[in-house]
Amino acid sequence: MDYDLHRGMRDLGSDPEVRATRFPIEQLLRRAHRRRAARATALGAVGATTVAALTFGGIALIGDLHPDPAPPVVVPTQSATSEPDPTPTSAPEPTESPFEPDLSACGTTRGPTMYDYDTDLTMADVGAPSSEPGEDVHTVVTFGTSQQWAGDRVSVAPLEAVLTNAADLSTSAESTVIAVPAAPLRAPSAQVLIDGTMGAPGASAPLAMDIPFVMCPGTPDAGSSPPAGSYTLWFEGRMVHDGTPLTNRGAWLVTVGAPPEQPSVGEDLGLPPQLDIPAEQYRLDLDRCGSSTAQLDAIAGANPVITGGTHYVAETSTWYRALPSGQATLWFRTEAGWWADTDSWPGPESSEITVLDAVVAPATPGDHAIWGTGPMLSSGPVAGLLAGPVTPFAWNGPLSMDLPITWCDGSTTVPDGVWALYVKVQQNVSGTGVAPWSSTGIFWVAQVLAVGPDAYPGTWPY
Amino acid sequence: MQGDQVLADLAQERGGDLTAFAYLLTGDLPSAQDLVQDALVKVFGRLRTGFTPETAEAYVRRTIVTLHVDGFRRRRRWRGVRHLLVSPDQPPVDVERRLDLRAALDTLSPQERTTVVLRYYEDLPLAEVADRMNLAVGTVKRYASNALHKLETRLGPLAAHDDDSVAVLPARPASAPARRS
Repeated sequence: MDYDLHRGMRDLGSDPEVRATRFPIEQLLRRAHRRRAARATALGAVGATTVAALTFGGIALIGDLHPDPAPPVVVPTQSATSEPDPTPTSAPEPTESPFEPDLSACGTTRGPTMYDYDTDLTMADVGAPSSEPGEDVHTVVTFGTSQQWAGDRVSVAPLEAVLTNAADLSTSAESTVIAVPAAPLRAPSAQVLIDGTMGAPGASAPLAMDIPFVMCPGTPDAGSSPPAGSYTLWFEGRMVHDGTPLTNRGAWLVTVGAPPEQPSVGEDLGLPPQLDIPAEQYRLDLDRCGSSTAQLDAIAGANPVITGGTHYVAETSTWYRALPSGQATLWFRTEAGWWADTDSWPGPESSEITVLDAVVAPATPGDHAIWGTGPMLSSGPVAGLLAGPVTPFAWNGPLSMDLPITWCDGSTTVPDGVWALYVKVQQNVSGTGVAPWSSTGIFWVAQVLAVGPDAYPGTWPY
Repeated sequence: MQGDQVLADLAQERGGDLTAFAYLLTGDLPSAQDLVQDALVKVFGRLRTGFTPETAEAYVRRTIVTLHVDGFRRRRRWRGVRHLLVSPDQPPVDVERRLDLRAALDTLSPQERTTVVLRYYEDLPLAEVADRMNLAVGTVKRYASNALHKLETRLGPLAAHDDDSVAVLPARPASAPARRS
């Protein structure tokens, strides 16, 4: 009798064991949400970067955040016609020595002084969804450079990744390593640098990584993957450009499991749980929601006090990410800029910048950012508030930090549109040029943030 | 959120059918379950509007095919360990036929196998099969022809159906004589 393929296929597909499959819906939803969050990060980055790039007269685009596909797994194939080889020495088996975590890093310390080896390479996290306990830790690293190397082919490689408890990166305090990689760090294939790096001129290569960690001996969860909580990931990477290796370090927060819920004063308004950063208690002044940005406080628009005949101001560019917790977090990058009468003067010798406050309001075409002087943007009512403390930092070069923003209407993502971000900055910068100089003061810095692709409606109004 | 509800409904109500479809492609249940879940996550990993369970299922099935044909670690993993699996000593007759068909399907390339599943399990016309696989109809015909020939060498002559329009071409290479009558 001829074989009925239709019937055979249906019979095979009707296997009760197969059809009894029940999927873990909660887990599927979590995976789908993480994927959406990752997409939101990438899409939001496009909008924000585009505006920032227009500011600098360039075009910046964020690239593919997806990791390179894993290297193919080599499975020895069996040949049906091959005979067993009687000589063991002539039949080499692919042997892999089992990976042993480098526990020697456990108990060693990491600190902010370990930042920055090569100034042509910056390393920053652009936000990744939190990981589930027992899963690999997700992170998205941007290998960036201020050099105009867009289009150049480079190789990037992770050299080290360790976890400490969530650290305060604004201080010089050292943090102790509590977890090390449980598998070799995967070296991705060559990357092509793309225009822009975190809203600034230059080029970058974003790289998504999933790293399995094992807790160090002596910790409560020794031998296991990190339990739910917030950690600081200390990362060292290398980028080889045109045969020249550049090495740098970075450190940023990663979250395993749901971010810890805070006793938020915004609960009555249905605001999302706070915070992503290690939080001290922070009081939200929700009364400011809806008020005009022109009434923020008397300091708005005040000039910084400048001595010595030169200007030195903090420039800002913005980014945002939407966390899986639903909290929309703006990424605020402060960059110490040299605004001197002549570019032959050396840069500042010391700088300390403190973010005191931040609000977000709708922006309209025609608004423009003003550094330190003049009126605030003639924008609408306050729509978002700084939702956590931002620690001061002292740095003469680019440094990025998160500004957690709670939206007054309880939005759980950054709404598409054009927004003005106002950041109240206290700076104390000094240096020696022709004569010693300093720049101190408290002032508001405004920056327009476009969220979503094609969010910015026209050309930059400068 | 509407998308989440559609995902939950689809996984709950159509999970068995989707798994059966994937199972015919992969040949083993764990890989099929992985494949369905990956497809669900991929489809629902972006916000879409106007999704109903019916339209979503079509997306998921297409994604299952794409993920399968693109070649995957699960398939490599399965091929790496399947020779270690032990078959039942004396399977019942219907189980035996299933195993025969499973073994025969395992001889097919991913493209050939996908063609057979879409054609003979999903009952899609060749033009639709080609559309699902993003291939030309002629290419799909070739896959189908090769697949049928390989299956015949394992299963014996295949029953002809009125709607079958695939001409069986000589196998390449002919490892066993065709027994088509």
